[in-house]
Amino acid sequence: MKNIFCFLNGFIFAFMQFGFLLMLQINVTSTYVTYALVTICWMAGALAGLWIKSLNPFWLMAIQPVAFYLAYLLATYAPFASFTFPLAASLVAAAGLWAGRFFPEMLKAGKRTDSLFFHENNGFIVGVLCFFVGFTMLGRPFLLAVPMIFVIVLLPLYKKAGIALAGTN
Amino acid sequence: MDSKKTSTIAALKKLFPNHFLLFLTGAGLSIAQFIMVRDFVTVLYGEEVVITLVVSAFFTGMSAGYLLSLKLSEKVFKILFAVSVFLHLTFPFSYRYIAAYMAHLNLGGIGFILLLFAYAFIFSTIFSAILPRFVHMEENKDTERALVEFYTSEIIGFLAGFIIVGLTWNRPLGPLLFVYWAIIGIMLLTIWRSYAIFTAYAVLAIIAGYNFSVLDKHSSSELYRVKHRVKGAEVLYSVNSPYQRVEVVRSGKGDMMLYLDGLLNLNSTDLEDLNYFLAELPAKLIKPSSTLIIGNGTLSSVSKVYPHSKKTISVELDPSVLEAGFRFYTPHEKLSAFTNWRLYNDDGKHFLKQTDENFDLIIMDIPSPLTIQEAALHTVEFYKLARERLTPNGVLAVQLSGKLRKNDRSPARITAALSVAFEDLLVLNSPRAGRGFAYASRSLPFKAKMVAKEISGYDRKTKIFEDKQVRKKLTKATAFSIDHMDIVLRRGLERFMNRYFD
Repeated sequence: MKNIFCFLNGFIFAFMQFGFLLMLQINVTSTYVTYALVTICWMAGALAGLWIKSLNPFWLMAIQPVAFYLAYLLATYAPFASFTFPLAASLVAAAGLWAGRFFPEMLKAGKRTDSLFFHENNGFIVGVLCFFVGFTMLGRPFLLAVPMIFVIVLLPLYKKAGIALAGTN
Repeated sequence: MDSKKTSTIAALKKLFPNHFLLFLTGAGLSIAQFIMVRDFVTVLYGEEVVITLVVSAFFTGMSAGYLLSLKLSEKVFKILFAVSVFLHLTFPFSYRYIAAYMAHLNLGGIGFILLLFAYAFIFSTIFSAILPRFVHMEENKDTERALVEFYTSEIIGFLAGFIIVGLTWNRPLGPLLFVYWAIIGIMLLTIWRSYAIFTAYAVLAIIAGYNFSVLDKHSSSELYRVKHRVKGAEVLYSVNSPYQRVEVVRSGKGDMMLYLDGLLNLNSTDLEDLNYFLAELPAKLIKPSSTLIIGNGTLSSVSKVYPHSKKTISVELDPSVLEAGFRFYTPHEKLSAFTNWRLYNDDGKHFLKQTDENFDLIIMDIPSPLTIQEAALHTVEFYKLARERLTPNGVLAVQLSGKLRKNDRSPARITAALSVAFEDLLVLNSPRAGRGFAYASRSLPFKAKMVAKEISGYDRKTKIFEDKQVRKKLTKATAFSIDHMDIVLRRGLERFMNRYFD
């Protein structure tokens, strides 16, 4: 179960990163600024997630789709407002929090680092492939559906994966 | 002797603590990912399908590293690490020569895929093995804390690598590769703690670096001569932009060809015909007050439009394509006389959304829709945006990446997207240019007869289709839209399979 949980998280991390990138590229701009923003903010979020132990894993997982949908609304309905890029950056970082917290939480739940990264990375690879196929075949409905499906699939697995609901306090 | 060695090791450990090694690992992985993706996408030709395959191969290499990380003994790990680092000194020449040789032998797709994954393992496997090994070192009693600290170092390193890559954008591969070699050289010293091995590596790196420009040019040219089958190919310009590998290749006949991520974008012979139908012809017919050219990094269409347009604006996303344009297609001096011409370095979509200006003519001189980003500029959504920036009789000119036929392929799909956004279409299928061109408007300011008269002196074989005829050809085509980009996948796969598995 822990392996599947790691794999699915890797999948959603790939989807989130590519999803943020594409939604901003399509609606705002395709210049390298967008790519840099998504990469740096995701990493910054992951770093913060690694260190802030008091963050509740359940809520961090739940924040991901919320941040994604808010960014989608922002990019679609206010692509050139002065607040769009700073706000989108914050939302990418917020989604990235779980990408950092996930690893110490899984280690604490008994996963060894090699297996943890292996399964997460395999999920990431499948996520990259599925994102490309899914988006080219289905477009925006795919972008909108996947985060919700994963919340429905991932959150019930959460307890079975051995992560304490109260976080690491 | 022993005490001397121990003190050296202690000094090295002090100089390069484990966190620093993880920082270097992150930086190395970040740069390796960029180099491998750019180079292998160029070797295998850059449709989105290939980009996705190469990215997946890199991460598969990382997975292998994670899988093996705690299974390898210290001795085996160190040997594999050293072998991997030394092999890096053969990059990028070795895989280019091997790819060229495989193309010469007609080895086919399996061979190229094996090559890709073999190099993915060299690029990423041994580096990804470092983090789990360090987290589970015996001296780390608190593995959670070790993970947090080491992973933090690796992520910060990755960001540093990302910045280094950014600093080398729009430059040749050399400087970035030298920094990369230096990073993995320090890692080799840290892991082996042997000055002898490091010195051997440094000497070989200096030799490889000294010969880099010759080998880089020769191996690239060899790839174009053998794999692309361009007789007498010589690579004159090769840089990594933030978006793609931009290369200018001169053939034995003297043709100047622009390649983007290994895909032929244009050659100087075709350019004349492309510029005529896409830019000069509509400009002659309309005599626009204001013209917008999106794409056309070679800037070769500016001189065709300028005599007929009161004001001309060019918008090109990629500064490296512009630089190639200035150097090999349209020199600065030729453009400096054009006082009513302006150039913007921006994304076409972004420019159209931000500008307040309206145009009598918008020319879309962009690559075929083989990636998602390119396809986004051929969609109903984009054409509706362009329509908003056209004057009432303004015209959008588009090249169709092939001849319009009654099917569901790219030319028909692009035209179908235009038919959704515009009321009046006119399509030219030109045998001379080897492709079709579409003019779209709310109400075209010219008729088919005027076009036929105008092109009679240029190309009599071109077939012209008016709006009704065009729409009859679109019954099987699904309009390109953000939600219907399946052809990027289908066409990419088709090209990939034909190229490597036919």
